[in-house]
Amino acid sequence: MITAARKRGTPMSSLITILLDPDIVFLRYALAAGFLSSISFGVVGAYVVARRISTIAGAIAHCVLGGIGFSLFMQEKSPSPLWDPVAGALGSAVLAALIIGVVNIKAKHKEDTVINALWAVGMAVGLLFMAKTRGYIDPMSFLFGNILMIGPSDIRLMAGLGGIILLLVLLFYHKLVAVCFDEEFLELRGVPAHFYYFLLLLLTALSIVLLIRVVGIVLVIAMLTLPAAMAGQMARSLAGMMGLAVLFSMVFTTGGIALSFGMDLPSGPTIVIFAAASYLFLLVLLGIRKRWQAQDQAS
Amino acid sequence: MDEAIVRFQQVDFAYENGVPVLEGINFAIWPRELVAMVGPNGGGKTTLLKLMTGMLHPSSGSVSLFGKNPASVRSRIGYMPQYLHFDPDFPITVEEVVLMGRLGRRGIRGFFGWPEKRDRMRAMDCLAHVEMEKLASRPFSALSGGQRQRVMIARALACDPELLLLDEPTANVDSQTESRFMALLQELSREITILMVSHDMGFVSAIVKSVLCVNRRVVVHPTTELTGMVIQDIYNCSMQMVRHDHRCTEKGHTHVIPDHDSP
Repeated sequence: MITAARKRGTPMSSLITILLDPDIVFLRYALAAGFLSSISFGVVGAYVVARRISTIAGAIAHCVLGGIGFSLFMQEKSPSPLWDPVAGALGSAVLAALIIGVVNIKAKHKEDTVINALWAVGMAVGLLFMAKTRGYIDPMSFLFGNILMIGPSDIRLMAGLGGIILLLVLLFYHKLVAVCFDEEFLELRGVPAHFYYFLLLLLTALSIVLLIRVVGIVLVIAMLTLPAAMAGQMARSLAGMMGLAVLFSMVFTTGGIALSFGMDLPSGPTIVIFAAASYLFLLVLLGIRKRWQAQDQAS
Repeated sequence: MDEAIVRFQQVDFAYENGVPVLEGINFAIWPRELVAMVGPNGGGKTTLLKLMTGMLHPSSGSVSLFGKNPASVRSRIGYMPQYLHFDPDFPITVEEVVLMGRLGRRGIRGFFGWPEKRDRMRAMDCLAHVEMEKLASRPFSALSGGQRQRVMIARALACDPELLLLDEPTANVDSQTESRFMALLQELSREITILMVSHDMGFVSAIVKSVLCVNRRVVVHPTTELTGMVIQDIYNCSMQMVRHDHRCTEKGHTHVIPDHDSP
């Protein structure tokens, strides 16, 4: 039936046909996950792009594999709900964020080295634990995600974590903007700037854990940066950038799912390529507009 | 007798590499003084400002701000860094930048930092001081260098400071704005203490009461002539001289600005 729907029309029309089928629920979950994750992609992505911490986000994302690998290994050795891979992912992401935050404050000149070391060591640890865990574990599903495998419990988790992220951003919006724009000034105002920097890193860590199910560890950075970078070309304020980035993310996840479904491609990479192509298109458009404006002024 | 706003006593400072940046610094700044700090690049001006604000700690000697540890009272400062300090593409409006000055002790008090109506009114008032109120809703990234500089001054004023620290406030402003800014500083100095870093000796000489010359040591403008030899010694190059008529006391290796404790 799915194949028949694919053959009948455009990616979007075949997606709609499947969506209306009461027997096929996984696409509805995928779309719901795409919409929920777009909130984090857009809101936290705006901070990541504005504060220029995408490399830090990359290191946190790759450390997550270490936590997942450790959880899977422990789950096999002594089964317990404590060793849920999501808990492992969350723990390792928060730990990586704390390490990077401390290094940023105490030894800034070593930050770059530590970030890159965490990036590689996190992945290595994850792969080693997976290799020593009995049974077949495919790291590819963690590295590149699979939005079509998402179930109701994932949706609940995404809604919960997304709600926490939104609430924190809403409450501390101005201080987080200040720590991104001028951390030193915030410190001089007697506001604990380091605390808000840590909060920003923790929000990034939370978002990454949330988003890995959608696009995977390797591609999460693209979705945290591309929609926000596009929004940054148009927005006047960080709040505007967040709103636009959420909107772009929703378009990319929905469009990416439709394309991947219609063309029988893996969903995570399709979403990212769609976002990257749109970003490139926007840059070209802005370049042409700039050229026209320069020509107008010259004439 | 007023208490010194800033006091450095036998302060030495070196970064982790051990190379001394400042040596034997003694000076005091008194309430409602308008003081300029001049000196070559790498001479220690920014380090001196960071020691003053408690962002750095002296290797030896003591620094006090309002008679206390600088870190504990730094929210009483309004600080304007050099405009190059900022990411020019950061998505933020002019009003949002100025509202940052309301964060902390005197402005937005709530834990969450959401501005109230009075904070917005104060921000607009500070923007009006630098003639930027009409651009309040503009993106900061769309402003010229000079306009950004004025917004930064407005942000420092929005702190309702008792001590205003300005790092090269007129580096990118046109001469007309510079004149208006000078008048504003003179007006403000009736109420608050101001220290500004400047390379523009002509600009500072017209309005300040004392000049701190920084190049590892601090020489404060003497009452008698600041000779060409002394200036050359500080800057290691020929410099334009600034003449003022202010009292000065000599302590150790440095000349210091008028000290109310001195006879």
